[in-house]
Formats: sequence, structure tokens, C-alpha cells
Amino acid sequence: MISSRQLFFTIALARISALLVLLPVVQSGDARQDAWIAVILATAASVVIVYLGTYLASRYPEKSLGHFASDLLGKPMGTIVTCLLALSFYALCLIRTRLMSLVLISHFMRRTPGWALAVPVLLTAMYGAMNGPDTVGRASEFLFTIMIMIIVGALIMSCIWGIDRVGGLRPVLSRGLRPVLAASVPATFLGLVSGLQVLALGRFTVDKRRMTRAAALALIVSGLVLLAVTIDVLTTLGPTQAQMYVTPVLALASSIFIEGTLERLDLVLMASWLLGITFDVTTLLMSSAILIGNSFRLDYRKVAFVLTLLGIVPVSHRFTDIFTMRRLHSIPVTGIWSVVIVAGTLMPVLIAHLLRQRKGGS
Amino acid sequence: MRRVGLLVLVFLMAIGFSGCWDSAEIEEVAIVGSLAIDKGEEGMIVVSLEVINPGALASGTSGAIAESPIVSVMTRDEAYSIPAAISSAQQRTPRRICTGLVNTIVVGQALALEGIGEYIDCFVRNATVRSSAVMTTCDTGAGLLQRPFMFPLPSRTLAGLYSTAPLSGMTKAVTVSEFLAKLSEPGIEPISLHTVGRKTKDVEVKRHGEDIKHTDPAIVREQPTDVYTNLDAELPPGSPLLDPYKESSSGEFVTATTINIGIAAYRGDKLVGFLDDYEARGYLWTVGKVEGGAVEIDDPGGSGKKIALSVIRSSSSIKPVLEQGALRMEVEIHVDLETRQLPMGTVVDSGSFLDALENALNALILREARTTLNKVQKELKTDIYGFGNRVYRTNPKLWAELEPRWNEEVFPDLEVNFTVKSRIRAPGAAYGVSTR
Repeated sequence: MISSRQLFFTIALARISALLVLLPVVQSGDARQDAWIAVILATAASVVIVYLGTYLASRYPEKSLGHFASDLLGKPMGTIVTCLLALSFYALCLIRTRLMSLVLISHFMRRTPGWALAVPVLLTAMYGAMNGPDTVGRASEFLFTIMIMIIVGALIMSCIWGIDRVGGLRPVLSRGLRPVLAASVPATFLGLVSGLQVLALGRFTVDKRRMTRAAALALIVSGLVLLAVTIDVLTTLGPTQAQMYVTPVLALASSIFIEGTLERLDLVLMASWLLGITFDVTTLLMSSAILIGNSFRLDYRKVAFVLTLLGIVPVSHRFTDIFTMRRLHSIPVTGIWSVVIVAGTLMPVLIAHLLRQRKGGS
Repeated sequence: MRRVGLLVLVFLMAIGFSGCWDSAEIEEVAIVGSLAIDKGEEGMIVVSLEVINPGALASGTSGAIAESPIVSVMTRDEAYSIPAAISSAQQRTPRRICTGLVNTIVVGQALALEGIGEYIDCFVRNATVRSSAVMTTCDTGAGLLQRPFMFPLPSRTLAGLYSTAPLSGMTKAVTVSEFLAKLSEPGIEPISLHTVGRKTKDVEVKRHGEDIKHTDPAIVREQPTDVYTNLDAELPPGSPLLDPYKESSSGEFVTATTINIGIAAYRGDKLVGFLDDYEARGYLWTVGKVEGGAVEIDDPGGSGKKIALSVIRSSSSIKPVLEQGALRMEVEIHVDLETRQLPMGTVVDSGSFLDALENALNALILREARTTLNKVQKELKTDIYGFGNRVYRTNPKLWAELEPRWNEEVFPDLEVNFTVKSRIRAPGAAYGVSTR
């Protein structure tokens, strides 16, 4: 069982890791200086959607989506809507593992094959998932603390030892709301995926009443961290150039140099991101395994093992590259994916729950 | 069983995360400290690499020279692109060339005049080259890398210079990242540090693997030779060259690395001119980046002597004002100083004296800022102050109208009003020197 505090750390860490290096609010769309508004919009939208998820999870305290979806919609339909979300978690788990290896290869380890980086992460994720939510929850406390310390440290160093800030933030919605809304789509998607893990982890949470608050607070806190990072990136690198980097945050860190003390901040940041992304991949794999396991009445540990074996080839094979990863995080792909999750999983279950409630069922 | 699984997992992780495929022992890499690019022939560039020999450096510190005393070697290769030139250098370098520690990028003046955007692109795409590397424009990039001064390595000399020269209040260190940000943002043009050259000597040059000029490679403590003008073709006729001076320790004639340092102004990726000495300070007053240095003014007491003050800090605010369709800039400069040298008997504690001193300082700062602004507006015609960027940030619609003709028409005639507020914060360690 995990405490609501551990749930908060889990969701916040997963969201920060997912958004930190790619920083889709800066890369996607054309929000330019207004990308920071996109962070706020994405956080607000994620909170609303995740609230609906936690509402359902708190109504069925001893069950995961895999259980109560079948109860509400019937076995076949319940399995389909559950698998839709579970497969989203699983796909993102594989995408993120592959992305991590590709970023490492393109930036630092050009001759290292992708599998040598991706497979150990996937195996670590499997080990974490098979140990269950208790272990993951405890790890989240430590990893979140480490990651926040490094991010805050990097921001302070950027302010003190960073280069002159040339990009101002002034033009607020000068080109309308559309570019900002577009830029917020990938961040909303990644936020809601992190938050909707409560549909799998909710049944393992000790204090169900605090679940909603913990999830919302996690999204808000991670949103604040991302807001600070986004503003730092925009003002230091300039909105135009920041959009051009594969990983804007690493580019920002690379511009910081403290003579005789810290030669390469980007390596420190990369190390913390690796920790975060490994944790994120673990929670996604575990959530996916729990949902599938609960839906088919299987032990989620065995499911996690099978999913890991199935994922080794996709995360290692060269058929995906950094361009594929960029397209997978693009506005159309993440927009459609968000709609599929909300309309295909969340809304049918929510409507079925409300209808049952109206009829007086429990 | 679970423990065995854990052991297998740890073993597999060790294989992956150790990054064995990219591992390189320190004694197997050729560390590049500085990189210079100059204009070559037929559209090519000459890339000079200062390759450091860490073993010689280490033996130098312990006192015993166990291996080659050469602490750095310079390779020069000609190609159409930087990666091709580095590949060419790799052909005859027995260690793997590592650009991860490049802390200085020197751009030759002739190349900078034609544009350096594509070379900046190369540095940005290569994640191993850190974007905190300082950029400088020099008469010849290669020349700057040939001989160290006060440090065993040219790169250390340059790195030291970049961190200390801004304390003169007459230049500013600019990193690749900063240059690039200004290059990509609207309404602001990039600058770089400017070092004025010295003699270049012949070294081995390869073009497509074929020797075109072969003399001894540049090593520490060699006699300088004349400029090979056919290759570099860069030293302008009026370029001030430093004569060799006799090094006290060895008795050898050694040229210093630089003789002057200032600011190079770009428009886009092309060099358009230089601001040296007080011109550079005039620019730095306006953007609020004077980090130190001494200021001399006439004694307001009427002694006819000069008073020296040192700058503690400076800052500025730039605000665009649009009134009745006319755009102007309001620049407010704040400078904090303390007195350093005054005519004997002058006691710095009276309000009226300090007021007179501050008024004289205001006038000096205003004069320097105005003189530089005039040169930048009328001669260089490049908005290195970022006035356009302020307009863009405060009034994007107005900027959309002005942007196409900003550098050519609007900026040269832009009205700029200065308000200077200097303040003497301290008299130094004493109010004065008493006389009999």
C-alpha cells in the first residue's frame, strides 16, 4: 500500500520526467514567449481530467479500473476501455525508454547501441513493477527529492552563472490564444497520462479521501517546476532557438559553466533525468500491468514480466529514431491520443457510473 | 531465485550504463582546448585545433619531464566544413580528437566578414561542444592559438583573459549560446569578444590529405615567423601587430597572445566592425554591463589633475517610448564607483565635492555612451543594443511594421535619450591623505 504522499511524489516525478527534457510546450506549436502560459493551461486541463479519474478511483476504493469498468460496462466493454488506457501506458513506457536511449546516443554516446541503454532501463522497470506499488512508492520519495534538488540547483546556477538573458517574455497572446492552446496539447496529454495512473494505483492508496488532493497537488507542483524551467529556457536561449533544440533543457544546462567547479551541468541534469525517466517507465509499466492483470484476473507481476519481454524489441530496434519521437509528441498525435483516452476510457466509465448512481446502484 | 534475478539485472545494467562502446581512456584522447576557423582558399576554411598533451602538462607540474615537453600542438586543416577539417586532422593524430573541452572558439576576421552562421550551426549541432565556450573574433584565428602567454596553454591563456578582461570595463565575454540567442531573436544583433592579432607563423596545412605548406608544427617556445599571407590573407593593412618581447625566464623572444581586446559587432552572422577601448565601454555603459575598470575625470576642485575612480557595478534600463507616432528610447544608466586616486590633500567627505564628482562622472559616461551610439548608429548600422527587441517585446504590432527597415532606416536615426545616475559609494580605505 502507498500513502497519499507517495502517490503525490509518484505522479509529480513521472510528470516532471516526462516533460523535462523534451519540453513540448516550447517545441510544439508556435507559442514562442507565451509558452509559459501553455504550461499553466496544460496543468489546469490535466487537473480537470485527472480529477474525474480520481473521482472514479475514490468511488471504488478497493478496485482498479480493470475491476470497476467491467462491473459498470460489462466484461467485454469493460475490458476494451481498460485495455485502451493500459496500452496507452504501455506504449508510452516503450516510447519513453526508446526516447531516453536516443537522447543519450545523439548527445553523448554515439557508438553505443540503443539496446544497451534501453534494455537495462526496461529491466529495471520490470524489477520495480514486480516489486509492486509499495517499493515504487518508497522509491518515489527519495527520487523526487533528488530530482527537485538538482532542478532547483540548476535553475539557481542558471540565474547566477548563466549567460545574459536576451529573450523577453512580454508578448502575451499577441498572436491570439490559438498558438498557446496548440502548444499546451502535448503537455496536457503527458500530464493526464501521469495523473490517470490513479486508476491503477488508487486501490493501493491507504487514504482514499486524500487521493484527489494528492493527484491535483502533484500536477500543480510539477506544473510550477515546469513553469520555472520553461521561463528560464525561453529567456536564456530565446524562444526561437529554444524551439530548435532536441532537448532545450540540456542546451540550457550546456550554456552554464562554473570555472573550476562544474564543467558540464548538462551531464548532472541528464543523470537526474535518467533516474526520473526510469521511475516514470516503471510506474507506466506497473500501471499497465495492474490494469491488464485486474481486467483479465491475472497476477500483475506476471503481466509485467510478459510486457517487458514483448517490449525489448521495440525499444531496441532502429525502426524508430529521434524524428519518430518528435512526431509521436506532436500536437496532432498527442491531441488525438488524449481524445481517445478521455472519450474511449474515462467518459464511458464515468457516464456508466453516473447512470448507475442515478438508478441508486452502488 | 529472486536474488539471482537481481544479480542478473545488476549485471545487465552494468553492461548498458557503463557505455563501453563510447569509452575512451584519458591517455587515448587528444583534448582540443581551443578551436579557430579562418578563411581558406576557394571557399574553404582553415580549422586550427589546439591539441593538448596532458602528460606534458602533468610532468611540468611535478618538475621532471618524463615525456615530450610539448604541451600543445596545433593542427591546421583546410576543408569546406569544420567536421571535414577535424576528420582531416584525425588522419594524422594518433589519439582520438575530443572536442568536449573546447572552451574557446576563435573566428578569423576575414571569415567573420563573410558570415559565420553555418559554422555556429556546426557547434550547436555537436552536443559534445559545450555552448559555454567563449567566442572571439581575431585578425587570424590560427594566430591567436599559436603561443601562450603566462599560461602553458593558449586555451588557458584565452580562458583566463575572457574571465579577467571584462574587469577592465572595456569588453565582454560572449559564449556561443549567447551569440546564437542574439542571432535568432528579433531586434538584437550579436557581439563577440574582439582580440587584435599578432604574428602568425607557418605550420603544417593539409588540404584533402595533401600537403600544401609544411613547416614545423606550432609548439610552445618557438621563434615566431612571418605571416603566411597567401593562406590567411586576413591581416588588414593597418592591423597592429605586437613585436616579440624577451621572456625573462628563458631569454627567448616570445609574442604575447593579444595586444588589445574589445568588442566585435555583427549584423546577423556577419562582422561589421569593432568597438575598442572607450568605444566598447560606451556600449557597455548603455547595456549596463561595465563590470569594473578605472574611470579618469578632471578634478572638479580645479587642481588640473586627474581623479581616478573604480567601477563597482553598473546597470541600465532601456524603455521604448512611442509619442505622437515618433519612437524614441529612454536609457537610464546607474553606475556605482569608489574613489581610487586623488590629488594629495583632497578629502572625500563633503557633499558638494561628491556632487561635483558625480556630475563630472555623469558627463563622462554620457559622452562615451553617446560617442559609441553615434558610431554604431551611423557607421555600423547594427542594433547591438537590442533596442528593436525592446520594441518587439513591448509593442509587437509596431515591431512588425518596423522590422523590415529597422537596421537600415529606423535604427540609424532612432532618438535615444540618456539619463546617467552615477553614485560614489565609498572613498576607498581612507578619506584622504593628510599633509603637513
